[in-house]
Amino acid sequence: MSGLPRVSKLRDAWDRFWFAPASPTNLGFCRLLFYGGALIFTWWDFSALAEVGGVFWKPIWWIRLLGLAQPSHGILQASQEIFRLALAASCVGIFTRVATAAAFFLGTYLLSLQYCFGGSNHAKVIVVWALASLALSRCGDALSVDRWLRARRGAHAPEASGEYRWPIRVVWVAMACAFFGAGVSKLRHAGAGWVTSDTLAAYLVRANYPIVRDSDMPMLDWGLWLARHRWLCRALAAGSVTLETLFPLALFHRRLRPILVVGAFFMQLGITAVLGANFDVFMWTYLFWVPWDRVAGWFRRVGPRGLVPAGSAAFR
Amino acid sequence: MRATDPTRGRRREVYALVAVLVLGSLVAIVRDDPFGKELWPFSAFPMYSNRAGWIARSHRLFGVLREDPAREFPLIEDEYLFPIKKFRFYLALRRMEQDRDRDRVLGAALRDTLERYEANRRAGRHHGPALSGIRLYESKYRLDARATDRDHPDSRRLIFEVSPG
Repeated sequence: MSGLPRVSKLRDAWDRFWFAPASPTNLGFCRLLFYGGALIFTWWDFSALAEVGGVFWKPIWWIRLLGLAQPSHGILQASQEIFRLALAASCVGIFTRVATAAAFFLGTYLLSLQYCFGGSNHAKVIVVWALASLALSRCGDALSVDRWLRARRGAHAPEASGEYRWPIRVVWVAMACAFFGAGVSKLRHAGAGWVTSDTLAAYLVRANYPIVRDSDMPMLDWGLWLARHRWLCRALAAGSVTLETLFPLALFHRRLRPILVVGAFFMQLGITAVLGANFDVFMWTYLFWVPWDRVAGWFRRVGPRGLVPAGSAAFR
Repeated sequence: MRATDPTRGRRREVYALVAVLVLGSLVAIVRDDPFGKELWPFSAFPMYSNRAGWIARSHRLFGVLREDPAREFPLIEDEYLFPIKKFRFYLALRRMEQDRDRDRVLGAALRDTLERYEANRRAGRHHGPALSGIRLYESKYRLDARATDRDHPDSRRLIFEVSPG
């Protein structure tokens, strides 16, 4: 009999997780920062892919399913120009609904094309999910040109709503899936041996062999020092697998959230520094974990007067 | 402007997106496809997941300098292989090495790479030397924790070679 209230409690908690009222400012900040970063991190000449010989063309599953061929230079040039415009428009929040939708469709297409030459890679997977989430959201309701234009026409500032919470939570879930997958993959392929063997030490040394490494050159050669301290490598390996596998707890456990999120951020920073893997845009999406409205409130209280005036149109 | 709480239909849309993300990710995690064969944009994120040892083998291209054919230099920077990133480029070559029609496919790929390298060099996209050919080698290293021998493999084996014309 006591099961029913528990189910009801769980249902309420589930509903609150996705749809508890949240301020539009937080989502507005996320939109502004995410699209600004995406514009920088995806700035690459996609049109050059048209010049690659057909022998390298091996479309990923959904490009194959849609029967899409290797695109021409003209199509890629036009697509990337529109994509960049859409990212810029989404960033400042002008024609936000159309711009975010265009950024999602073109971004997914262009990013996936890279993986049709050689094979897929998960480095930018998170961008697709963030683009999808924001494209379906009402992220232009604050801190945007659209909002400013509506205010000029006399529209009131939007109130807190569940509409401003779920898009951020979708990105959280995408990150949780990524870390959980990475942790499970290590345990599945190497088991406890990933921690108890010299695996991490060997990876750290490999990263310093230019002919052997698959990733970019590490920023620092500290990996060689670490590799000579096997106990430290094993401790780091244990910490990494634990952090990755338990990361989904960050979704629901408020106390563990900062530990797991900050820990994962520094873990990825460390990997970039000593192993050379490039997590640029993935790391940028940590911005979705920051409560920007509270940060802005804090600045209003302690920052220089006038920096963020209370009741400023920007924060409505 | 008055914000309304999400309607039931709207909630369904959100849950549909979440379901695609979570179920797709679970499928990817269960399948656990290796690098290069992921169900993009779903992935099991298999980074550094295999046990690594102290012997490393790598298949890499080396350019033969036009000015001095006795000298070679490794094509291990993204700019020399542009627009294919190094990691994906070498994944593609490994796949071609296992192709039934290996010599034809590998020959076409290496010739295409040489042509693109030269076209990019002439266009000023990189500052590498002019090449008269490229060779694919397998290099074997016994890794040393001080990496003192990083430029000298224990052994090297020529796998394939192309030159223009």
